[in-house]
Amino acid sequence: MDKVDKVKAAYLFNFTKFINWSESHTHLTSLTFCLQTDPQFLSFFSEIAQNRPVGSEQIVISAVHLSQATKCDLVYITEPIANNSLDLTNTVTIQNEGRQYLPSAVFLLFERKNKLRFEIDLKEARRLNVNISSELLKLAKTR
Amino acid sequence: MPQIKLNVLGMLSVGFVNLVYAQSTPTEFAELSLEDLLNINIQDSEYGEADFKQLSVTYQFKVAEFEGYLDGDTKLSRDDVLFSPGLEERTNNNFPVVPTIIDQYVHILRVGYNISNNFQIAISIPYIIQETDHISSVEGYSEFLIRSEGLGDTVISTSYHLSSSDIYSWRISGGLSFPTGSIDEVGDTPRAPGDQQLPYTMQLGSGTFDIPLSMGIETKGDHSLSINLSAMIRTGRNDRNYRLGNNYDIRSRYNYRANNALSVFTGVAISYSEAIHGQDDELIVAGDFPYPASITNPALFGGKKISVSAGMNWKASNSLNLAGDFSRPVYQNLNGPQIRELWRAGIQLSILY
Repeated sequence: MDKVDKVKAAYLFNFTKFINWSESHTHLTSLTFCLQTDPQFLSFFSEIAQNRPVGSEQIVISAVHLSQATKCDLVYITEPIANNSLDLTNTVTIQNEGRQYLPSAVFLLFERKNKLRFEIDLKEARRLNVNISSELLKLAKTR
Repeated sequence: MPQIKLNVLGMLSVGFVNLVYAQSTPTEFAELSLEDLLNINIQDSEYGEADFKQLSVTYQFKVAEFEGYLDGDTKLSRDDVLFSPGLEERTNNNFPVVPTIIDQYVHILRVGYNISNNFQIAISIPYIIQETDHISSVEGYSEFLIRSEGLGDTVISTSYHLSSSDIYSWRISGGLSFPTGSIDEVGDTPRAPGDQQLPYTMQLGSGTFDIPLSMGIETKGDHSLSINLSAMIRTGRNDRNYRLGNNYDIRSRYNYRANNALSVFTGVAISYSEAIHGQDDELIVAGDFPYPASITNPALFGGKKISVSAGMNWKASNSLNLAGDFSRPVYQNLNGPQIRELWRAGIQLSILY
């Protein structure tokens, strides 16, 4: 597995630590993270996320492939979406620069000078009623 | 004493960097903070310092086939090139001996050593097998096959990434080709009874110290484009008083990365080769027409060529890479009459340590 993918998986896990669903997820005990990746990436991410506390609460993260998902709290998109029946309008979306298959996404991963960076679309986050920690915002490029 | 303290601080600092960069397992990556992640160089090896000594062993197998004749870009038939005594006049453009098909097979072992992420040295050792079918108007040699086989010229090269950004990278390389390939291959030809010196095409090396040079730029991303300029500069003359012509080419390639493991490419190459300088006098015969075959005339080498190619690269794992390519000339303008290239292909297996 490429190093860049391992770093991306670690970023995805870290994002979950700094996001708060203000209203609809009041008693959040689990998150479904849908990933549109190869099995190796999915497995690597699952191991990162396994039994690790997210934020101050003990939230369980379930990693599932997008093609098998029925609902997603977060989704990592890497290809055009084939599963048209899945509603992602209230999902925190993440995609890569140069492979943007959604018109807007909360997080955009991009490479600069051999480092992986991320951009946050605040407008999209507000639309989803998602609070993003200032700790995360200060490290991100925002728009 | 102050100097020692500084060195210790330097070592600690290096150690810290390696700790940050040396993550590999999911558990190790899970421990990284966002600040750590922002500092990771994604082009570096995840194994840190160890990768700066990365060794690569590559085996390549290349095949090329030549058949048919061109003079400039005009096609000639075998009858045009074969001199038939009593039926036509001998000229500088017909010959009593005509190679019909040349097949070349090359096994190459290449060992590369990454001194740093930007700088690599490598040694390439080829083993060459060549077979040429002939027809001739010489009695007893109407059809015959000549074969030569052995070590080719060994090349030591260095490659350096001049600069790299998120969008592109520049690379230059240069080296020295050592004349380890034989230029004294012999075989039974119609020129005389027994074994004689074989023509230039059947020799395994150049006999001279040669300088391979190249420079290339490559864009990054799933759809990438590369342009590469390369040359083989020959120096001096060999022990048989000739020097192969210099080669120059420019190659452009479009590469599509279908996923992390598989990429496919297509490209075009324009190449120019010079004729041979000097002459091996053992290859000529007495009389008005000293060249018994086109491949014994040093002026009938070289020319211009445009080829298209396609291939794929499969990264089977972090330490195993497989690649294959096929190319075919779409235009050739040769110093002829000269046998033309039909196609060439190659496969490559690389193992990284």
